[in-house]
Amino acid sequence: MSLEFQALLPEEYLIKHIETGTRPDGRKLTDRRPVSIAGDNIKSADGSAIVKQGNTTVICGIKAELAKPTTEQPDQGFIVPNIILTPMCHPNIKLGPPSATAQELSTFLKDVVHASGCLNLTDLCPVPNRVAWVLYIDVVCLDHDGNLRDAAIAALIAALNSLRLPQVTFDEELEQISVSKSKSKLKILCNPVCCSYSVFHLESSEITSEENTLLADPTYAEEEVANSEISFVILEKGEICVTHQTGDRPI
Amino acid sequence: DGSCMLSSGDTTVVCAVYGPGEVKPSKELIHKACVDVVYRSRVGNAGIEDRKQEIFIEKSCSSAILSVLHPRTAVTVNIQEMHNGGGLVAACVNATCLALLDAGVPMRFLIACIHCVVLADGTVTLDPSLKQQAKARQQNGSATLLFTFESRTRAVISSHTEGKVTQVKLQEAVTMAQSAADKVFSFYRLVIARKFSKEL
Repeated sequence: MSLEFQALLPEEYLIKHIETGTRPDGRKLTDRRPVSIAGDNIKSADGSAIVKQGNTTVICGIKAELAKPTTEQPDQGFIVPNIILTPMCHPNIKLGPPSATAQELSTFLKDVVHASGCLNLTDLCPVPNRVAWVLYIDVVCLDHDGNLRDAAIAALIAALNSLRLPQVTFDEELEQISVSKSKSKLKILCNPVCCSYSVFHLESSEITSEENTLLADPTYAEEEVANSEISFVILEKGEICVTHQTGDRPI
Repeated sequence: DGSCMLSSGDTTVVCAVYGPGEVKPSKELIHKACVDVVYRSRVGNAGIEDRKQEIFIEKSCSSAILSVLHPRTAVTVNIQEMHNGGGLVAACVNATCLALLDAGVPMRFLIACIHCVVLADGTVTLDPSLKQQAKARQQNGSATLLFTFESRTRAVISSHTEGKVTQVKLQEAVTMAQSAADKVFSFYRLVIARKFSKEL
């Protein structure tokens, strides 16, 4: 009976749950799903991590390549994050070039890395003007059950923490790049954490006195029916480094 | 159906709105109109950064437009950057709102977007110039914030922050931007009143 109700009126189904203070999967409104993070799983990648947040599964792999730094910033390396939403992660995702959502998530990852200052780009440049590292960060979504932002950020940071780069030296006379066999970890200055919420606008609520109800760590079904979403990326000291709010209802 | 050219200091954008009209079957929504934003910057091909602007503008507008009145249609918004003198995204959102008004698309409320910059020493600057924006991006401990307000209750519809900022500073920036939004809304009134007085 409840499954038919969910299929026909998904919004009503969710609102009826919220009004009693719980969600369809049994969590309270502010409960997050259990998260498990495992780093350094992919041996062929320079850094990797897999994150499972409830059913949402995201894997991140980092490949490092050498390139010549730009003339504008001769002492900085490059970070190229990219999110890939595979068709296997959800029936709604189709095969083809990255959709607008995927592209927007990729820029979100880039913003977080730059805004949080978790990585010093000058650390990625062993020989200024000559040689710089380019980190190709690929985040692949294996299972999309909502809240990709949190999972993707967690995977990215865990992968960066597991990243090992060799030493690079440049011989000026011979114009040769030599790469050492030994690898060392990259210095990560901070670990940003992302918290996302779905916002629901209830006409009258007995539980909450405010009009808007926030649901922590939404599932795909909750995200689809939500009025809007809001995400905060917070650093260890409590500073907010990236916020992202998209509206349908004002907060 | 409606267009607008807005300049905010040196920043100039042109916005054109078509709709509600024909929609591609892949983008069709059964219960409401879909908002399709195409943003082109002055130089270069369409890139990922443009996609981010498009989505931000789309989310701000789709909350303002009464999309349930026109199901299975699309409202197309085309924005062209003419010159960037700082505060570009804010200018785009404001131009879109005026173009939507010009096109006569039914809206729930008006939207105003304010750009502000919080520097490391704690000063909050509204509507920064390109130089101030660049300084904020490079300086460690400063942040760029973007807020979209609605005209009825001055609540925040959408926001985007980049850079470290404490909770207290964020609140302060929102309050300051809210008072700036009042000025933008009274500007909208002025422009529309002028337009209709000429037509009469």
